[in-house]
Amino acid sequence: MSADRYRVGSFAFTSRLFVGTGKYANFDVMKDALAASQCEVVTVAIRRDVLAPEGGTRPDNILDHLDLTRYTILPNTAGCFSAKDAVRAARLSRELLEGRDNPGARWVKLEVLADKKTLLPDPVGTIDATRTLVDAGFEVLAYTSDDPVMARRIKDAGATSVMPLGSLIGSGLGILNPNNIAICIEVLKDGDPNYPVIVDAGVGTASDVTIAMELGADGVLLNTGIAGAKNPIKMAAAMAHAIEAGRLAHLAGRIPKRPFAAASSPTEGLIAPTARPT
Amino acid sequence: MTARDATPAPTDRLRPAARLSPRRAVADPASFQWPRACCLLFLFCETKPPNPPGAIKNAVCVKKTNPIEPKSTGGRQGRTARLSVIGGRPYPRCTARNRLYNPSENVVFLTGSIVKITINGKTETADGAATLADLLNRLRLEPKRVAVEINEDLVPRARFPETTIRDGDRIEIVTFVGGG
Repeated sequence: MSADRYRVGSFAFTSRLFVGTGKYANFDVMKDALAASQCEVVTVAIRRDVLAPEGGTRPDNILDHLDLTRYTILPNTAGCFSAKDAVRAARLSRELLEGRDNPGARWVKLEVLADKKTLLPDPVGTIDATRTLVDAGFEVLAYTSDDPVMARRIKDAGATSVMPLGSLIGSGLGILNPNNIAICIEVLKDGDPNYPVIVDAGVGTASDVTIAMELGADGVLLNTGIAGAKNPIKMAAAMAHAIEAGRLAHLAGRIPKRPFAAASSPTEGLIAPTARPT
Repeated sequence: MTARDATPAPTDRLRPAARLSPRRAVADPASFQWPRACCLLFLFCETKPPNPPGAIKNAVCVKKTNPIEPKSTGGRQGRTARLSVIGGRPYPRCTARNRLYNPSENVVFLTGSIVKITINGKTETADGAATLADLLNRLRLEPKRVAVEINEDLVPRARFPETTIRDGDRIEIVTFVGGG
C-alpha cells in the first residue's frame, strides 16, 4: 500500500509497526506472527545467559530464529530500574549486535522504570540515561509517559525519538489519553515535522493502533497485543491493517467533531415538510 | 618538596609482592614432576600420595566437575569434596597415573591459584591463570553470541583472550532474549 518511508535517526523504514519478541509460545509462532505483521523492526531484551550443564543442551538463542537481513534489531533496556543499569544494558546490547553486524547496534529503546507494579518510566532516570547514551554515540528511543512536558525534555536531552505510552505496559488498555498523545505529537513536531514519535505500550487490539496512528504518530510499538492474543498470527495481520488504516486516515485528514448532526442527504426537495422545528 | 615526596617506598612492602610472582609455577609439562605435584591433589585423593615438603605450589591436579552442574548429581559427593574449577589445562600424564579419574577431560592442571568468582550471580571456582576466553570456552559459550561485563564494566569481545580472571570478580555473561 503506502510506500511512504519515514526516518528514525539514521534508519529509514516503510513499516510503521515495531513488534516485540517476548511472550510467544515458541519461536515458530513468533516468526509467523512477525511475518504477518510485516514489521521491519523487532525488539529484544538482554538477560543473563543460561549456563547449561556440560554436554547438556542449551536453549536456542533468539537471534538464530530471526532473519537478521530482514529485521533491524532494536534492543531494549527493559527491567532496568536505574539510569546506570539501563546504560549498562545498552552497552551490552551494542556489543552483542556489533558481533552480529546488525545495524541495530547503533540504537537502543531506553526504558528506565520506576516500579514493578506500574512499570511506569522514571522521568529523572530516563533523562539522565538519555544524556549519557547520546554522549556515548547511541541513537536513543526513549520510553516515556504521555506527559507532553517530559516528552519535550527528553527530546531536548538528545533523544532520536520519544515513545509516549498509550497505557501501562502489557495492560491492553489502549490509548487512555488520546488528547495527551496528540499534544505530545504536536509539541515534539513543532518546527521539526519529521521528528519521529512512536506510541509504545498498552495496545490491546487493532483499533488501538489505528487510534494512535490517526493522532499522527509515526509508528506504534507493541508486543503483548500480538503475543498474548488467542491467535497471534491473525492478530499480527490485523495490526498490519490497523497501522495502514490509521496512517491513511491521518494523511487523509479527518472531519472536525461537532456536537450536532449535519445531514449527508440534500435538505432541498424533500417530499415531506420538516417534522418539528428545532 | 615535602618530606613525604623524598621518602622512597619502603622496600619491605615490595618484597612480598616480588615473592609472589614465582609462585605461578610449572607451566611446562615436561619438567613437571608427577609425585611432587600430586601431593597437592587435595580434596580428591582416596589414598594420599607421599607429601614431600616444599612441593610446587599452585601446580594442582583437580577433578574438573561441571561448574554449572546441580549439586545433587555428584556421584562421589559423599566421600570426597567436589571442586568445580573453570579453566586450567588438561594434563594427561596426571590422568593416566591416577586411578580415580579416567577421562582426561576431567582432570585439569592448574597453572594459577584457585580463585573464587561470581558468574551471573553464582559463585564458582576458577583457575587464576584463566582468561575470559578460557572461561567462555569452558562454559561452551561462543564469544560472538555473548557480551561480558566484569565488575559492571563491559569487556569488548576483542579483549577476551587477554583479560585474566581475578579473585572476587563479578562476571555477567548476557545474551538476547525475547522482549518488547
